[in-house]
Amino acid sequence: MTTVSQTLLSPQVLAQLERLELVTRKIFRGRLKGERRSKRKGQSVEFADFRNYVHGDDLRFVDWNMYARLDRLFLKLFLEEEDLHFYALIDASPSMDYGDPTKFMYAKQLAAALGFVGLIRADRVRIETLGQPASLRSPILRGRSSVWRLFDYLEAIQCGETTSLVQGVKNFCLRNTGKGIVVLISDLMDKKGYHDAFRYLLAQQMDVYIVQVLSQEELEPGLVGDLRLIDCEDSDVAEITISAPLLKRYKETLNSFVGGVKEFCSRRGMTYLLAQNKLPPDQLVLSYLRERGLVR
Amino acid sequence: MREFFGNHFSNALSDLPGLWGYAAWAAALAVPPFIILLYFLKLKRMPVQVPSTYLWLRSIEDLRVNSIWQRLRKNLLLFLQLLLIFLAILALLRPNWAGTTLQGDRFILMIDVSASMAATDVQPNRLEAAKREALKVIDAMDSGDHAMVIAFSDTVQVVEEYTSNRNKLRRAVEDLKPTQRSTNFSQALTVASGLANPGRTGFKKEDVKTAEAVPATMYIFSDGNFPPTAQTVGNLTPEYIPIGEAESENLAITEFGARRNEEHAEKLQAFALLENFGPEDVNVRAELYLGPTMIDVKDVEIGAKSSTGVPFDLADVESGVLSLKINATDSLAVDDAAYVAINLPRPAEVLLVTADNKALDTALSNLGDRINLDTRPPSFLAEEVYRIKAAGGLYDLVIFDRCLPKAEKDDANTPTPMPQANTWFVGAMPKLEAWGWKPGMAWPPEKASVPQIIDIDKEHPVMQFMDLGNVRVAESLVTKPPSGGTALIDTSEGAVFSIAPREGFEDAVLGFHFDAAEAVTDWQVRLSFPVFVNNLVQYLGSGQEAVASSVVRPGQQVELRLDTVAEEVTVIDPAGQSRSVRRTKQNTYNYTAAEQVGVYQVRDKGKVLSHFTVNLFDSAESDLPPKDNLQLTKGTNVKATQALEPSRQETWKYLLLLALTVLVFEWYIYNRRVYL
Repeated sequence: MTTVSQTLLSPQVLAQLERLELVTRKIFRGRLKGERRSKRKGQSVEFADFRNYVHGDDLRFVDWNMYARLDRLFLKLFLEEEDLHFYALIDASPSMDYGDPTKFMYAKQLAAALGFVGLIRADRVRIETLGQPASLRSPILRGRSSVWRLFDYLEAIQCGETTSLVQGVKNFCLRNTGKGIVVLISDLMDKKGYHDAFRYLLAQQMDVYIVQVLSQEELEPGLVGDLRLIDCEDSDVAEITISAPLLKRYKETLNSFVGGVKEFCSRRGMTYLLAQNKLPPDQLVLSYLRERGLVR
Repeated sequence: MREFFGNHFSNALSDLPGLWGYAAWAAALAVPPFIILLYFLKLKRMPVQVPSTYLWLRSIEDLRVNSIWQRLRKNLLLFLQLLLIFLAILALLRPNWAGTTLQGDRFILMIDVSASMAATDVQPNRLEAAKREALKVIDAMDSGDHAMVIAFSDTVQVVEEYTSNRNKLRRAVEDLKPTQRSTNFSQALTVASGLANPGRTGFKKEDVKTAEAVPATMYIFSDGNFPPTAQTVGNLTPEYIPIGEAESENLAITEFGARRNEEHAEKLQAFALLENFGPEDVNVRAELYLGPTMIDVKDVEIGAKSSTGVPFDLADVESGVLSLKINATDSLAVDDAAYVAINLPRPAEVLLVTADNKALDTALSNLGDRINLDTRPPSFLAEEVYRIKAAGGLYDLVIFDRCLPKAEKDDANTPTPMPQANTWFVGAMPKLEAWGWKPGMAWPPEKASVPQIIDIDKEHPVMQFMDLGNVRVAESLVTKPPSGGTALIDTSEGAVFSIAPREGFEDAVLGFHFDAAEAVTDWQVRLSFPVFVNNLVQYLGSGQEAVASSVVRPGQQVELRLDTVAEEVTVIDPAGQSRSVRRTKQNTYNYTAAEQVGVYQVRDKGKVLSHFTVNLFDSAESDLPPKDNLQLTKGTNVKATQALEPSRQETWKYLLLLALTVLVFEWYIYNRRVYL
């Protein structure tokens, strides 16, 4: 793994991730032969069933031992193994560029970890950002050899896109009509709300994971004094005087917001996870996402 | 409000010179608007870029609902600053109120607890009023001030020494109890000035002063009903706070007694003196009781500020307790009743030791059943019976006619053993150093011949109603009285009859005798002789008199002579409390707890022995209206004053303290962001 970028994930983390695989609750039809069992019978080493030979069948799959015994032609059927589509959708709006490490960096690390797991297991991995134009498609990566391309691609992504959450998700859905797993990594701080965006994802019949990344500063603000808060995305201004009741009120608002997202997701079969930027992404993958059933 | 600021605003202004003053005040008043101005200018919030104002906007949306309160809350610091400045300006105005203060830092609170302080002309009574005034002084004391509480009646009690502990002082004052005693301010003044001027403990000029004399203010809470004293007040500043109403009315029994009728010895006469201290004439009904039974009533009219005597004839009263009550509705109750006890007379035990003395015998037997006379020859003195009786104090009077009691080993070096009784030596003198005897001396000394009687001490009870001008004496021993004694008959050769105290008894020594055979004197045939013997036996025999002649006042010691040999008797006071009294060596019982006016019963194991009574009988106490001026010493008049002097009670310290608190509070809020 010499090509792996040190800034995204350390070799030790990668070593731990190598043991994992992406899981989906739905069984999808892959395009290429992968490492996943398919409903279809196909070519693999695992035996599934016999059936009568019909004209035109490939002679390579005829069970000659059976023919010798019974003097009839049977065809050996094997389980088909296929690949999985994994999409990581990163919010690259300016609001993600806050925190230490920045929420955006955190999103990239998380995407790298999950993408890495997918590549190791021969799944199809595609990383996209919300701001990507509908026409532009990012490359599909497959196979262990593509790990470095994944990391390179992630490193190249810049924060600062101004597309709204709804528009970005809509574009993503237009581009990718297939089935698979989609992990949306965002702070969900969009004043237009997240509901429409989530509905687009639901319509895709994908296995949807929402990871909301919030910085420590957002969870527990350390602000003091009479302030004029300026929104970095739309320059909206909020004049506040920090006080104990206000902080209390802020926390209540935050909790109700997070709780609202969680309830919205769980009602619609989506999996929601709140990530804090101080929690290492590998730990998130290894423990929290494993609990949620995304990886195994 | 006017009083609050009073003239102090103008004072404060005039303190500053003219124009500058107005400028300074203008500057001070300009501060609050300036702060408000600054506050509006200051409202520039620090810009902070945040990822999203999404949550913040939603948070303050909720808070905007009650926006007036929010605005107030936002401006809390401004209000605190304005309050701070307001307090500071208020402190500069020097507000105050007309309070009271004490002069000096050391106080002696002298509270009168005598009988007159029980008067109810002020509610609930004078003592409570005095306590209230004293508590006011204590409350007005500054920390660091010292005070002492002295309660005085005819005695002085330092209830609380100098202390700055106001709680202790308060408790000491509140715990004071009224007494029925009279007033003796002289003692109180002695104690107060002694405690206040410790330097006076030195007797000579060159004595080192034990401590610096500290000037003190002496507050006297009293009605002033006591005579001037001869004390000096030293460096005490007396302040007199009169207690009581000037128009108090009071009717008092200031004297009440009973005595045998001169003509008919078996009849008793009672006599009362009623005094009216009020400003109006009063008709009063005086009721005389024997025990619980009313036996006589008299309506008496007493003029304003005058007195009337009321006699009662008591036909067949032998013994009992007479009480006189007047149904007056006045302020002082304790002087509306008086008591006198009439006890059955007890005969005096008299031992006459004589060879043969007709004159004495006759004179003594004339006294009838007033005495129990026991006549014995001189040989009786050597008998065991005499020794036991004499040592046991069973005789009231022993008369030695030309003989002396002998010690067991009788020689020139042994003094005469004296009996536990009063003695009268006739023509003999006891071998006692007090009477001029020395061991080894020839006794008796030489007699003086033909002494001429020059003078007799008519003041002495023994020598009352006597004229010795016709008495001649041929020869006599010279009886020079020892110290403390009195020469009763003085002659050209010296005293021939003297009386002197001895350990509670009295010894009378007459230098000559009455034996008709030797014809030493012709006194026994004179009219004065039986009177003399009568006086002497009555004085020295001191059998219990039918009517207690001496007046016992509350607080005095009562010396009881009883017809009993019990070691202990019980005295029951008017309140029903009993107290046992032990017999003294002098065959008397001394009762010291006669604090209450009323009848006291003396019992020996349940048997009533006698009664005695305690009466106030003090015009000074009964004269209720408080004096305007207190004549402490001759020439020192203390005018009635208020204990507390009006003064200016400053408040600026407290205002500044409050301002400081506000400042600290503001600092805390600013730093900690703790909002309401």
